[in-house]
Amino acid sequence: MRRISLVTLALLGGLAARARAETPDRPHEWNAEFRFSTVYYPDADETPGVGPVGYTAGGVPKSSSPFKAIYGSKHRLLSQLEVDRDLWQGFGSLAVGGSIGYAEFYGHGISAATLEQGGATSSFHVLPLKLLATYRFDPFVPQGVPIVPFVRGGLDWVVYWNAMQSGQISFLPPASQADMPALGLTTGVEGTVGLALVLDWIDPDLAHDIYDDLGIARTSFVLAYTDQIIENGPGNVIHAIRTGGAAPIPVIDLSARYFEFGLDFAF
Amino acid sequence: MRVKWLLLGVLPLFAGVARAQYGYSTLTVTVDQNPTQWPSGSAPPLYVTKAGCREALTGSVTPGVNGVQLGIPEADVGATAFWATDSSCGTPDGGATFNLTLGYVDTQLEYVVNVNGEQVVSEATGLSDPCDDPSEPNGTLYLCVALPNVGSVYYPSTPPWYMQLIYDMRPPPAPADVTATAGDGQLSMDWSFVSNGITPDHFLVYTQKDTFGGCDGGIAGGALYENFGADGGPTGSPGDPGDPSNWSGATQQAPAGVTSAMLSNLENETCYDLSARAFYVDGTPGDYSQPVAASPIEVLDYWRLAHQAGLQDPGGFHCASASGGLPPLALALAGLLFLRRRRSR
Repeated sequence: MRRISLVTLALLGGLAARARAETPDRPHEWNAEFRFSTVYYPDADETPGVGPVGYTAGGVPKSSSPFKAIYGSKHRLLSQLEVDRDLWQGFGSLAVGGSIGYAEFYGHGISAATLEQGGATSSFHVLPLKLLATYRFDPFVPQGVPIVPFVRGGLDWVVYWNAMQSGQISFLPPASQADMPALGLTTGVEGTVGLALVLDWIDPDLAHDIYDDLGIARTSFVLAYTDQIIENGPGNVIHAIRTGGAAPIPVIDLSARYFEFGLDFAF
Repeated sequence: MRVKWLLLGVLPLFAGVARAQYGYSTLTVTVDQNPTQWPSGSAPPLYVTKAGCREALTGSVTPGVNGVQLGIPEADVGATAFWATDSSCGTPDGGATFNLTLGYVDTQLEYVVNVNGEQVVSEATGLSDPCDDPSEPNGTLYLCVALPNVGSVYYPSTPPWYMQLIYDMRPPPAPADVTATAGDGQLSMDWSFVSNGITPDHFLVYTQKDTFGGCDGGIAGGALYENFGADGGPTGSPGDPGDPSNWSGATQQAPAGVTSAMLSNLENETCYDLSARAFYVDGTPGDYSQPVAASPIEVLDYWRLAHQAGLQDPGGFHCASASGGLPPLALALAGLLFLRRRRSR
């Protein structure tokens, strides 16, 4: 074990030395980041007031929260694209930007008459829009340190919609679709901590060519953890003002916590 | 000229069977002499006969120096061959190799053959007999083009030195394996389709409110099935309620290659009969599929189930709703733009 540790240390030392020797400080102002999470699952069933429901699946009686009953408990893919611009570069860099993402869930509905699950499918979609501020601790990258810790925080606006098998937005009968559409917005905040591994040292010549040809100053692999609280949001402040301080109506809780990974391009 | 010889040399490699990719109920064949190679009026007239001069044509034929137009009705189509030939009907039928004259080297007699407006032969083409293949199913039309013998100089006649155009005149097969899945106010219909080599242009789905107790096993029990032929098609008796052409429900079109349809705005807990059939590009319909029956049901999806379980979210984006958040988003975006402008100064 000790020998392995020594070998690992030697390897890391060698990589650091190589990175130290061959990671130039290329000017950049923008970052584009593609991130993916394979463990995304919103807290829809944690929405206040929502309790379990009973139904049967294959003749077997079951009881579950609504979201889990229809879409199961399997995590889904969340894909996001973020673009931000450095506002300040000093001891690290501070950037602000925006991001857009998408995730979807598919499942089978439950017959209202028999409460048996199956047949017609149903889908739930989320489209997170974010305003984010990111601090990247990267003053030592030019000195060859390939690891860049970062923290990120911001405001979230998550558009959601629930569709029937035909793709039509669901609604609550007997109300018409215009009255109670399964299309809305939940707002909130989020925070992220993560590490970016600068990849340029793997092939400095290629990194140099990418900079010359495409203007990409730095390419990094990103690993992060995000915690979201998306259960109401700023809209309720206005709602409270307009209604004289009335308590907001609970909306779908789309909070989530997930690991994510991706690639960051500084240019 | 070199290109021409090259084409003539390569053509035998492609000669043989050229199968149409679509079906027609009527073919209009035009054989035109290339006026640039053979001035109008100087070429021998063309005639069209049926099955190598064995039978007279029932289609309309217009012989002339400017070509032949032949309208072949569907009723006249069988496992037989139509020929465009010269006035002497020089296409002996009986198995002997038939070598065609393509013209003098200098004049390069050419013919352009159009079928329903689409050019299928653009080069002087010969053929060998027999052109018709008995193994092909009934309903297949063979179009064999024989050109007049106008000289003593012949192109090589090495077999297979002929052009055989096969047009499948059979109607589209009936869709099979039809299933219906009940949704909320809608039915999802799926079927399979095995073509006879011709891609249909589209499918039509037919519906009616069931009058046979189909959702209670009436179809499986034979009540509706008996009104259909052995292949699933209607018996055709006027007013037959089992004939989808008499169904009063809305029809819906599905493009070729899509073997499913979603029927919406239906009444829940009401039984509907469903059937589909394919159409060729010229409107030739195929047989109806075996009908199925199903009832739309009210489905509790997440939105409905969650509200039954206590969710109060009314949905929507307006600020007065609990989830309103667009104004802050707009404010934030405006702030970002303001900062950017200020920075650019």
